[in-house]
Amino acid sequence: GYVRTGSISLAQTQDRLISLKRIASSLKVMGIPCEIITPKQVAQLHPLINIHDLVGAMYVPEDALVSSANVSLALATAASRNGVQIHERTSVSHVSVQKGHVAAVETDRGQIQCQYFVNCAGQWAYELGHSVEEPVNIPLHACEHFYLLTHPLKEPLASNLPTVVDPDGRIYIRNWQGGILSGGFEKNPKPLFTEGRNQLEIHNLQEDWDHFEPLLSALLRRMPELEALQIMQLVNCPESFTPDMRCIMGESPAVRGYFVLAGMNSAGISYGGGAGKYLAEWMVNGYPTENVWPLDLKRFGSLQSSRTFLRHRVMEVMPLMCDLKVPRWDFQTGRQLRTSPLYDRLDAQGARWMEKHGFERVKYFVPPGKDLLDLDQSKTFYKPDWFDIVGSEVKCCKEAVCVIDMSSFTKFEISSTGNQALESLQYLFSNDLDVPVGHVVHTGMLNEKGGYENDCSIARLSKRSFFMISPTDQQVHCWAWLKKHLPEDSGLTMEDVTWKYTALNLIGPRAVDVLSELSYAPMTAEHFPSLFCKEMSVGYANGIRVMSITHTGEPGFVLYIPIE
Amino acid sequence: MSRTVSSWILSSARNSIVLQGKGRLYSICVPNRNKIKWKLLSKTHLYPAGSCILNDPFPLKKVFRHTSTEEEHFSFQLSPSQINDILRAGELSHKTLDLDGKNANSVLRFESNQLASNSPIEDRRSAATCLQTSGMMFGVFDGHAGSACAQAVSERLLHYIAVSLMSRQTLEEIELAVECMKPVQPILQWHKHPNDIEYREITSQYFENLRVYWQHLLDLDTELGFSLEEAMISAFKRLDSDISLEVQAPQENELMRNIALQVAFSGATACVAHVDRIHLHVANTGDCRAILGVQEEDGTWSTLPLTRDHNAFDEFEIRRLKREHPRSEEKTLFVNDRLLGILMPSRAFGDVQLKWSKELQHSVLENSCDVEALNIYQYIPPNYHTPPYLTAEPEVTYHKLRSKDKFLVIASDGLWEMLSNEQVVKLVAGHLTELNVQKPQLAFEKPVNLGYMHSLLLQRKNRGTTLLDQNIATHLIRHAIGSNEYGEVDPEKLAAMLTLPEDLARMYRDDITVTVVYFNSESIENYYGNN
Repeated sequence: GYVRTGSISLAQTQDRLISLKRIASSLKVMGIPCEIITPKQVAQLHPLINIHDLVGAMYVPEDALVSSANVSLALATAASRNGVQIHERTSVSHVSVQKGHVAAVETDRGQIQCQYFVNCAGQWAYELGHSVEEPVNIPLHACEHFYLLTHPLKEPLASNLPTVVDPDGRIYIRNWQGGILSGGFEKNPKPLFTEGRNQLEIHNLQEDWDHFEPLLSALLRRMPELEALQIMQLVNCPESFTPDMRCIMGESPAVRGYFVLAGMNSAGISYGGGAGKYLAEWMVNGYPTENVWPLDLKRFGSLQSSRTFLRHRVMEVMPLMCDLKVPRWDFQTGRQLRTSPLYDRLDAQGARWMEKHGFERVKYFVPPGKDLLDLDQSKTFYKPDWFDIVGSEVKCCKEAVCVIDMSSFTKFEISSTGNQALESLQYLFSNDLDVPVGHVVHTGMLNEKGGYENDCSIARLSKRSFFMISPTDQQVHCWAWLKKHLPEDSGLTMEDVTWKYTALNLIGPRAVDVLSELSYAPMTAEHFPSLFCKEMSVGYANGIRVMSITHTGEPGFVLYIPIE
Repeated sequence: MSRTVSSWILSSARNSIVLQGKGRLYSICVPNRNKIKWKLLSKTHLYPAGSCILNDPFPLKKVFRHTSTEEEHFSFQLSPSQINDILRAGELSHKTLDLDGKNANSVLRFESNQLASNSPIEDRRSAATCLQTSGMMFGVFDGHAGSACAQAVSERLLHYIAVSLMSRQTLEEIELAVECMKPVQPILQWHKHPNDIEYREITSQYFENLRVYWQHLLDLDTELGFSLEEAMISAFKRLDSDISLEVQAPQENELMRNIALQVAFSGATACVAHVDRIHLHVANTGDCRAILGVQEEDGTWSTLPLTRDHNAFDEFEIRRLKREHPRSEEKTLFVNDRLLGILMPSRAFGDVQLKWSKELQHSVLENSCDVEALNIYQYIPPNYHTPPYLTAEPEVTYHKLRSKDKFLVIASDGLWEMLSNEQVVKLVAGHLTELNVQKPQLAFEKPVNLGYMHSLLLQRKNRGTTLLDQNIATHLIRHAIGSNEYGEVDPEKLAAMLTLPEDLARMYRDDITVTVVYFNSESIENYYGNN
C-alpha cells in the first residue's frame, strides 16, 4: 500500500515561490530531500500539467501515497498481535473520573476499568470530551470537505506519478486507480455539526457540485486534458480543524490520565505516525522526547471552546491551508475573547491588536495621519509596513519612557497558613524564594529532567504569600502544573487573579521620573532598588502594587492596579 | 442641434422638450414614442418640420443648458451594484400579519417600487389597511405637469374611499370625537416608504375638507350607505371637486394657496384596488392599469385585465366624449391621439384647464400672484367650447377572487409602455417559481465527464446571478427598461437607460411605479368553504 510517488507543489506567483522556498529550506534542515524546480522540469515529471502559468515548483521525491483504510487496518492487526483488544461497533457513553483521575469508560456494552483514556475521536472528540464529569475542552470543529473520484483515463495514469498540489488553485490532485482523486480547500468552507450529535448524519452528507465548481475550474485549468474524463463520485467527507491549524495532543489539565490526540486539520495520515509516537512517550514517560508545546492541549483556554467561536474560526482556518503562509499572521475571526479594561481607550488611539491565549494585546499604534495597507495587501515576505512604527516605539522605550498594557500576563496568588507555601514553592522553582518580604525573584519552574516548564517572576508579599507572574499562554499549563505538584490538603490556597489586576508597564530610562512625579514616595535607586515590590499610591489611586521589574531588561516598573 | 433633432417644440415653462420625428438615437434605446403626456400647441406648431424656432431665443438657451445630446457626455460606467442601488431605492414591501390564524387576510403580502424619469418623480403610490372597515387598499397615481396633483391625490383619496365605506355609526362617533376635540380613531394604517413625502403644512386643511365630506354623507340620510362601487365613485368625484373648490376659495395663507393652485392646475390619473376577503374592486381613472395573474389548474398562467386605459385608443372613451359634447366638436375632441390635442389620458384628477370655463380660469389666475413661478401652464386650449372635457369619475371593476388568482399588478403606464400584460404576468410567475424552488437540485445522468459538468456548473452560477431581486416590483422595472429583443436583461442597456441625462430620460422611459399584491390562495379557499 505504500507507493513512493513524490510530490510537486506548484507556484503560480513569485510570492508563492518564496513560500515554497521557505518550506524547502526547513525540510532540508530536517534532512528531507527536496528541490525547487522550473516549470519545464514539472512537465517532465507529470505529463498532464499545464505549465503556462507557473513560475516554479517544489519537488519532494520521497513523498508517498498510502491508503488510510489500509494503514488503519495494518495498525489494528499489529496491535492485536501484541495483545490489544479492539471493540468494534461499541460506543462510549461516559468517562468516569475519581479524584481527578480517569477511572473507567462506560460503553453500551459495559464498563471498562482503566488508568489512561485517550480521546482520538477525530471530529467527535469535542463531544466525547464533554461526556466526562469534569468536561475536557477540545477545541475543534468539522467542515465539509469535498474530493472528486474519476474513472480511469483511456490510458490509465501510472501509479507512480507524483501527487500535485496547486495551492494557488486551492487543489490537490493524485492518481487513483488509473484515474484521479482531486479535492481542495475552498475559500468559503461549510462548517457543519456546530450543534453536535453528528455520528449518524455523516453517511447522509450530500454532494454539492455548485460548491465544488471553483475547485473543478482550478482542476481543469491545471489539467485541461481531463475534460473528457468520466466522473465517478464527488465525496463529501468532513474534516476537523482547530483554531490555530495545529493538531491537539496531550493530557487534559482537568482530568489526570485523560489524553487527547485529535484535530489533525485534514493531515491525519501524514502526521498520525509521529503524533502517535509522541503521545505514547508522553503517556509512558510523562513527557515526549521532543518539545510539543505548540501542539499541547493546554495552549487553549476554555474560552476557545465556544461553538460559535470554533465555527467562525475554522471558516478562517480552512482556507488558510492554501493561503500564503507569511510570518506574523493574526487570525481575524473569533477575536476579543478577553480584553484588558483599557481596550477601548487603546483602540481609540489607533492600536492594532494581536491575540494570545484569547487575550487581545496591542501590537503597535498607528500614528495619526498614517494609513496602513489593507489586510490582504499587507501579506508580505519582505519588510512589512508596520516595521518603522514598531522601530520608533522601541526607540522610545530605550531612550525615554513608555507605558505598555501587560494585563494579559497570568497572575497567581499562593498563600498558606504556615510555612507550606514557601516550602512547596522552594521545591518547584529553581531560584531561592526565601528572600525578605518585598523582594521579587525571577525564576523558572523545572521538570524532572531540568527542562523549563515555565518562566516567571515571584514577589514575596508577606512571609506566607506569594504573587506569581507568568506569560499569558501559561494560564492553563502553569495552573495544571502547580495543581499536579503542590501537596493536597495542606492549607495551601492558590488563586488565579489574572482578571483582578490591570498591569501597566512603565518602561524606559525616564520611568523613575514619571513615577516620582506621580507619587510622593522617593523613587531613587536606594529607596526602590530593582526587583522590589511595594504597595503605594500613584496619583489619586491608592493600594497599587508597584514592582521594579520589567520583562525585557529595560529599567522600569510594573504597576498592578486592582480592577475596580 | 438640427443635426440631432429634426424639429423642436418648446412646450412648457418647465423647459421640457418634445422631440418630434426621429432623432439620431441610440440603437439600444426604444424609439421615441411621444411619451410626454402634456403637449402644448402653440403657434410654433405651424412651422414646417425641420426648422428651429428662432423667434424666441431665450427658451432656446435654456434648452441648450439642459440638454446633453452629445454622445461623449454619456457615462455608462455604472457598476452592477450601483445599478442595484438605483433600482432598489424605492423598494417597499409589506407582509400582512396573520394574527388570529382563522380569518387570514386574503392579501399575503405586497411589494412595490418606483423609478423616476422625471425629476422629481411625478408618480405616487399608496397602500393602507382600513381600520374602521375591513380590507386593504392599494393605489398608483401617475401625475403630469408636475407632481402636485398626484401627491395630493395619493395622500387623500384612500381616506375619501375609507370614509365613504364607513357605517353611519362610525362616522357619527368620529364626528363627535372631532367636535369634542377628543382623539379621533385612526381611519387608515399606511404602509409607506421612508422616501414618501407628505405635505405636512396642509394636512389640517385636508382633514377639514374630509370632515365636510363625511358631514355631507351624514346629511344624506341614507341608512344603508354606499355599495363599494358607489363609495369609490363618490370618493373619486368628491376629491376632484374638493381640489377644484379649494383653489377657488379665498385663502389667506400664501403657501396653501400656491399648493392648491399647483394641485388644481396639474393632473393625475389614479388606479385604486380595494381588497376585502374575496371581493376585489378596482377603480380606475386614466391610463394606469391593473391586471390579475391567474394560474390555471394545469399550472399555466393567464392574464385578466381589470381596467381599461382611458385614452384616445379606447373606443368607449371616444364614444363617451362624443356623447357628452355637441356633434360639431366631434373632430376636435381628439387631436394627435390626445384629448383636445393636449392630454393623453381622457380622465384625470386636477387639470382644471380642461374642466373650468374660460372665465373661471381667468378670474382664478388673475388673482394669484406668480403663476410663472409655480410652473403652472396658463393657456386656453383651442376648440374649447363646452367644458368640462375631463372627468375624474372612475370606472369600477368588481372581481370575485378565486384561489387561482395569485397576484394583482397595478402599475403606471410607464411599465405598460415597455411590457405587455402577458410579459408582466410571465415575469411575476417566473419570479414566484424561482423563489419557491430556490436553486433546484442539480440533475444529470451519469456518467458525465468533467468538462460537461464544469460547463453545467458555470451555467448555473451565471443563472444564479440574474435572479437578484427579492422585490418583484424591482424585477419588473429591471426587465421593463433593460430587456433586449430576446426578453433577457441586457446589463449594458440597463446601465445606459439609467445613465440617461434627465432631459433625455423622459424620451425613453416614463416614471414607472409598480405595486404587486400577492393573494393568499388558502384563505380565499377558506372563505368559499365557510360560506
